[in-house]
Amino acid sequence: MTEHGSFYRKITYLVLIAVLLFPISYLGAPATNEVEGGRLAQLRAEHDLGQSDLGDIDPASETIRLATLGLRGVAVSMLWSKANEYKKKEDWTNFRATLSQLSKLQPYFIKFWQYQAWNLTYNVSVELDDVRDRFHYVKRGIEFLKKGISYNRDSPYLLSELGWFIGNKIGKADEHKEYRRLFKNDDDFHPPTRPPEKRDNWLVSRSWYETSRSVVEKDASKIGQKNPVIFFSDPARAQINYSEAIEKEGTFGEKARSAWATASKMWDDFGKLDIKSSQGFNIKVGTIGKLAEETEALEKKLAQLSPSAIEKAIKEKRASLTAEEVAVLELPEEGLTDEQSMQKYEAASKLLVQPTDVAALIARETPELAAEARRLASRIVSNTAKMRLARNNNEVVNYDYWAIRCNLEQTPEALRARELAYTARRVFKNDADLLQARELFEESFDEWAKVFRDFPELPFDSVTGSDIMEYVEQYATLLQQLDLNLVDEEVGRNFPLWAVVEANDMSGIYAKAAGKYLRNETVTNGDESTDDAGAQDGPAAVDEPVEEDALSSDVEAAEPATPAAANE
Amino acid sequence: MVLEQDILPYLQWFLGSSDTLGALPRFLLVALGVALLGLLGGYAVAAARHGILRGGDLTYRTVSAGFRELFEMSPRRIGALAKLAIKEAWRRRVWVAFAVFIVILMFAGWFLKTDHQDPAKLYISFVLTATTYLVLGIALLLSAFSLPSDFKSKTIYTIVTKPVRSGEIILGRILGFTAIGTILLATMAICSYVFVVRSLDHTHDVELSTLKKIAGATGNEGRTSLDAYHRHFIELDVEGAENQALSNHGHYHPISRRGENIRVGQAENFIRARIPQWGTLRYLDRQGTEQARGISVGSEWTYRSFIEGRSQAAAIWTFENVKPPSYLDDPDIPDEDKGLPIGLIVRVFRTHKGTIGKAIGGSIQVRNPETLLTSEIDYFPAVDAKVDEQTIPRKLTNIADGSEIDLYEDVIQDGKLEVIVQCLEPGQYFGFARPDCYLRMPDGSPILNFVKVYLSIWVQMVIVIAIGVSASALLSGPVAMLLTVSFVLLGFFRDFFVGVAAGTEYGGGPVESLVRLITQQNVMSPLKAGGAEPIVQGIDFGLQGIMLSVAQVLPDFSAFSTVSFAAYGYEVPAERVFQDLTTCLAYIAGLAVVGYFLLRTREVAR
Repeated sequence: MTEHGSFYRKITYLVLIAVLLFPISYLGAPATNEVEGGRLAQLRAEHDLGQSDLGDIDPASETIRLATLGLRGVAVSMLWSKANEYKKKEDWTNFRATLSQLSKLQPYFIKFWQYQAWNLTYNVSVELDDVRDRFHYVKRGIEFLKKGISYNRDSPYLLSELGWFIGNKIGKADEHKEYRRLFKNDDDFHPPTRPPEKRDNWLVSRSWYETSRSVVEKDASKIGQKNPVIFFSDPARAQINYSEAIEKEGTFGEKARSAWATASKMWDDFGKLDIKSSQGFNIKVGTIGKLAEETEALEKKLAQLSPSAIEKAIKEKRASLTAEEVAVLELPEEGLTDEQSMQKYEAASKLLVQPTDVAALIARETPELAAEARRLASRIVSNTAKMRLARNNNEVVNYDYWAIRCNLEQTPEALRARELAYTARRVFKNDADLLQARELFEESFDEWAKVFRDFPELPFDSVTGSDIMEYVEQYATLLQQLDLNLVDEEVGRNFPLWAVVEANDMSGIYAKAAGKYLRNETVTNGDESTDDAGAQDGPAAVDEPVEEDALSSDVEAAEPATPAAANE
Repeated sequence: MVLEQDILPYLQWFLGSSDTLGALPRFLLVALGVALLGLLGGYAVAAARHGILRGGDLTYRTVSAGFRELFEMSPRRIGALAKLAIKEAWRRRVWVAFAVFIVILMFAGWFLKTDHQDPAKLYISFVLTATTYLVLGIALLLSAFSLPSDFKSKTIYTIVTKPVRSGEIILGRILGFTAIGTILLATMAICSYVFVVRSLDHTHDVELSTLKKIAGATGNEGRTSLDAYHRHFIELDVEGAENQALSNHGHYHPISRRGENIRVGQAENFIRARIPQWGTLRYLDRQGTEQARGISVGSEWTYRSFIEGRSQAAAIWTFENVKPPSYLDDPDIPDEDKGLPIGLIVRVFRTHKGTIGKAIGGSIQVRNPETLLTSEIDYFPAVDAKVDEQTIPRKLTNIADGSEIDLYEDVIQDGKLEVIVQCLEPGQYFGFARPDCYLRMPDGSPILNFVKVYLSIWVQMVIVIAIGVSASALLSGPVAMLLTVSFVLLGFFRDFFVGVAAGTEYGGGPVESLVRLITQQNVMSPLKAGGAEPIVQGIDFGLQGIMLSVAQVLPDFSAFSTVSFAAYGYEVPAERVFQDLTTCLAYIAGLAVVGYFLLRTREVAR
């Protein structure tokens, strides 16, 4: 044995090596066109982790990563530090060159692309003074993201970020007018296949958002930590922004209407989209009403199963309260200590009757209805949870407002109102024709008044309200040059948007006047003989008195008229 | 051009002034310190090995022999040894470094693109930086392993048995390796220049469809085709102007026109060697009180400080030795062409957007520093962070009485001139550093400038060779290389090293930093070492003393680099070149002496 020890040992090693080859082959066999390969290759294919699945394979990147001989981490750290130093010292050329080197070393690190593209587009661009230089770096950041996407083509993070940069940075920056113009005229940025009318930053942004969305639609897990409601609303928001932007730049009529119609449809589709909530079930942010109706019907059905069940449930709940809780419930709200308030709240909570309580009571009293009662109660609970989540998410994207807005902006009145205001401003600024500008502004306000009457659900203090407030401020400036003031009797009495002004006047300079004219209108509409001027000059009162009442009544409810004010 | 360290006049730098210690006194002090340390160290070793008296005798003899040999050195023998070193270097395939350099240039295109606003800067800094690292690397390998391999292979016996002195061996090696390094560097310089010029070389076509009449003026305007990631706007047939593709990406193209045939020429002004004459800068604050610096706008980089718009705040440059142009009295040249050319770099800082797309306005005035005769305000739109080349007209208006004044006769006095720059818009700021305004001399030769930058790389190479050869006289190859690498690395981060030694860096000395690193303590809070803080800081105190001493002889490699001059398109000042050469000479002399004594400690060299 001793003589042959060495030989046997070698044989053992060989056998062990041969045995190990099996698991290695099982795990690591590479995939070919015909064979799907070992377990690792299969997992790689299943989860799209192969390099070619991620994006382009760059020989330069591969070479340089190999050339670092395992010191990639060190090289990356040094280059990041260098990039920071270059940024600090405003050496943008070397900063970009360093980013380019880094991109070869860590092409699949999504955060790197996001962070440094943001750096270029948002941080570097604002360091420069000339707007064209700024735009140059905004574009560099966008191109940097595109490069990142070429390596990571299915990353919704990078795709959405690109949509955001092209949309919001170009379309919402202080320099948005210049940026949008430069973007449209940039022959070298746009692919030759993109027609001039599609060169709007918001439309390009929308297409990137849609690409991002299609990635998630193919594989829902790719959405990662992104808020799905915001993520899925992005394309429609881009279309809304596009519609707003073209109107701000003076495009009205059919083109603007069609843009808003598209936005409306997209927003509607978004509202109907099944979105997976954080609690696992699907919600639709735009269909809360239907859900509410359905829940109401279910509640009715449950109540019909045993009409007295709810009352009995309340009685049972009340009976289960301790004497101390009953006593605290009977205390008046005023003068409660914090502790008492808390106790009262807790006691009141115990009295709340849940559908499950009613179902349990029915089951106890009429066992043959138990199954049906439990089924109904369970659906009511589920619907309520869905409604709560849908409502929260609805508020996150301000769904209801944008739905109304998309509809109202398509109306001839809104289109005309915006066009008139735009023309008025141009006539005022460019031609200095004060009288014509005033006339145009006033016509525009009349149209806005009609819009508010047609869409009473539109709140005054919305984005639309603040848009109109901008027009009002320009109108007030114009009036000043005519030695007039918006609050003057002859102007204010004819002005139909005091309710909007009151809701959006942040400085409070029109608060008094708004109150005065709104109250006057109420009195005037109610009794024309008390104030002839108001009845004759108020456009809404003259043109459409019924709707004007509706508009005024909202305001009246918010701020009831006093006899003293009515007499003013 | 960013110039964070002022370049002093050569004599002031060499001899010093009332408030700074010159290079020569510093060198003498350091040399004296090193000599004393060496003497004491040498005597201590000798005394320990041979007794106090014999040790003293040995030390004396070694030192006196050293002095004697200094005067007995033969240039012929040094030359022969240098030749030997060249042969050895060639045998050790030093040309591989050149091959690597060529490979780097071949693949540089993977990482370099001309899609930057100033591509020349990127290309120039790339080739110069690559050359620096490569040459320093090869200098390190050559010098650190040469003598040790001779000792190992015993070939040193064939040398020391000849009538040569230890000093000659050291100097011969240094010179030999320097010679081969110089050839290598010169070849690289030629290749680099060709690479940069060829990479940037391009032309465009005129997009005829874009040509249209200039509104309200004669001539046509349009644009060129997209080449090398950019286009140019062009102006053709404009009265009083040459046809050209206007400046973009740091260059322009001349345009020649023959009837309908329009041809865009090669790129011009890509690589420049502007020669600036810098002055001194002082600031006035918003009340008009003189200040050493302007306002900080919160930038982490404090290179520039700022002046407030529409206030009395101003940046005032004082120039000396201002000379009128040689053609001042030439009657054929109109007065308009006899102005004083200046370069101005303004860093704009806005506290509000102002009018978007409109540049912030500024003003330039010139003033006689003696009589305070000041010119009328000359408005200019600020071109942010770019060189704005302007000309101060010869004929100016006196701001006091509106009379006409002559720049050279009335404003410049004894060669002195003040240039006052102000920001004109409220709430906006202009930022300046001293080099941001200069008198423009005619451009120098870019090739000569390239040579100057290579000279600064050469200086670094020679210092590395000198350190390597001296260290290898005593140490084995790898240890000598490590020591040289340490010197080079510490030299590149000298400021940080000195900061740690002087205790101005956060986190304390080396041991304290190590403790913080291991125990994950941040650098701002007081050190917690379980009661051992005094011991840690006590050790650091000793180490910091040693570090401070080492810092005195540490070459500042980052300060040697003149790459940024060429990259930004400025000529390397002659003063700077001479200062670097003097420093290099000092290192060679000092290190040759150190190397000599280290070699003398070896049995074979006695």
